[in-house]
This record gives sequence, C-alpha cells and structure tokens, in this order.
Amino acid sequence: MRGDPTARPADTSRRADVSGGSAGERVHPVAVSPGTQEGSPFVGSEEHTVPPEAVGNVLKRAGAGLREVRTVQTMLAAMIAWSITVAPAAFARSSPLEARMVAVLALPCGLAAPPLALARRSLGRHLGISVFLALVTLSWLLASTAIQPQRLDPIRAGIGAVAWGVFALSWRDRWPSGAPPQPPEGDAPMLQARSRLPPVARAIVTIGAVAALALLFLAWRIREADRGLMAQIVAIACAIALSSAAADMSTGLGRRAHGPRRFTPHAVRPLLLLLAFAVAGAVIIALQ
Amino acid sequence: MVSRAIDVFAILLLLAAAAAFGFGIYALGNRQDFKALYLLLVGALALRASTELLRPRGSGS
Repeated sequence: MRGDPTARPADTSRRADVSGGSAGERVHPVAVSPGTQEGSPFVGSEEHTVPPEAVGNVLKRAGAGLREVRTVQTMLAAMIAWSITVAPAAFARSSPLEARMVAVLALPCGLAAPPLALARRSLGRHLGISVFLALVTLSWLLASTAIQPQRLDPIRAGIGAVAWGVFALSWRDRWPSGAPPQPPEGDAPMLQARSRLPPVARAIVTIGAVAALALLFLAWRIREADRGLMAQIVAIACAIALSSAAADMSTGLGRRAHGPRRFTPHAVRPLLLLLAFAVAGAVIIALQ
Repeated sequence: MVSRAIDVFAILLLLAAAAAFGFGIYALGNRQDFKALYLLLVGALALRASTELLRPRGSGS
C-alpha cells in the first residue's frame, strides 16, 4: 500500500466518507459503507445522491485503464479461465439453468473489475477476485455433475489449471519499493565472479528441466483416477527433486577451487546403499 | 583425471535417476506397485549420490 499510487484515491475518499465529507472533497457513494451511514444525521438526505461528475470520473479512469497492458492482461486471464473451466461445465446439457445464469453473471464481474480497480482499487479487487471466484464456485457447485473426475479431459484440466494460475498472477501486487536505488560509484572497482560455470552446467540444468517436464507429462497418461492422482503427486515430487538436484550439480561443477574431487565417506555411503538396494531389488523382481 | 571421472559419473547418476523415476511412474500406471516403489527408491538414491559426489566436504563446508 505504501508504494502503490493507485491506492491513495480510494483511501482518501474513504477518510472523507467517515468524516462526512468536506466541501472540497468529492464523495463517491460506492466507498460509503452502510455502517457509516446508519449513524449519520444525513440518512435519506442529499448524502445518498450520486454526484454525476464523480461517476463520470470513475468511468473515465476505468476507460483510460483499458489502454494499459496490465489491465488487458487481467481481463484476458479472467476471460480465458472462465471460458476453459466455467463455461463448459455451466453450459453442459446436464447443468441446470441456475448454473448458466451464475456463470453468465460471473463473466462481466471478471471483465469489469480490472479497469474498475484503477479508479476504485478496493471495490475492483473485491469484484474481480472475491465476487468473481464466489460466482464461479457457485456455478461449479450447481453444475457438479458436469465436472466429475470421470468426465474431465486431462488436457483441458491441465490448461485450466494453468489459466487459473495466470489469473492469480495477473492480480498480483508489486512489493513496495523501499529506498530508491543508489547510483553506481564511478571509482568503485568492477566486482569479479569468484568462478565461472563450465559449459556442461547449462546442459545439466536443461537435462534436469526436460526430465522433470517429461515426468509430469508421463503422469498425465494414467487414466485410472486413483492411480493418476498418486502418480501426479509422485511426479511432482520427482520433478522438484530432479530440477533442484540438476541445479545443485551444475553449480557444484564450478567449485573446482575447493580442490580435486574424491570419493568422500558422505558420497560413498549413498553409493553403497544404492548398489545394495539395486542388486537386492533386481534379484527379488527376477525371482518373482 | 579422477575429478573429471567423478563429474562424468555424477552426471550418469543423474541420468539414471531421471530414467528410474520415469520407469517408476510408468510402472505405477501399469499396476506394478512393487516395481514402481523399487524404481522410485533407486532413483532417489541415485539422485542423492550424484549430488553428494559434487558437494565439497573437505574444507569443513
């Protein structure tokens, strides 16, 4: 909030609402909470009237927000997530009319919220995240017969999961930037890297990443629901272990300054365990 | 020379671990639970050995 310039107008107007609003401050009715109005002596008076210029300003800022790339990205993310995961379930033949209505209602909330968040940040975020997700969840609950695991297409489910991840990222907030970066000193010497990674390090990281992706892809092949879920968990764990180990190895290859390598006891122990386990397991599998 | 051989051995262990994981998940899908568990454990041990080989320990780090 500290470093976010878009939050200031909303906070200012909220303070103006609580204090009743001075002559120089524009009060927008959207920011007036009902609890504040109940104790006010102006209930039912001109405080409830909507100043047309305030609505015009909000609409003007929301319209100007449509030219910003990030706003369009958020709208597109909501649209794609809705069209991949909500619309097919709500408009399935087995879904009731209520599910369709709720799904149709969710779409304008998701599309209107990003530009609205530029003018009324809190309202826009509540509309784009809270209300949109609540309506989407309600639509899924009403159309639950259409999203049973047996009827789900794995590829569409995967794309939908990615779409919701993009939607979550599109509503991200920047961390408040602290002190402004200091200009570099002209007389300071250039910092040199302690060591350079060998060319094979890039190949190792690539192998680890490709193998991790292949494991995730392999788990999607399993059709049986229970085994598929178990395989997904195992594949994700193995992919994380592989990619992190590959990164660890690639940086370890650059540490030649620590002296020549040798088989230390820490390295020999898992090797011996691996050898014993591999031989014993192979013998048991062969005997079966 | 020995250092280079250990580097190559560690890379081979990483490849073996990736292959063991892949075959383990494939076996899990084919209802071969024992084989899957065995391959996944072999992969985990190979991965651990490959990272331990390249980790410097002699200087107290």
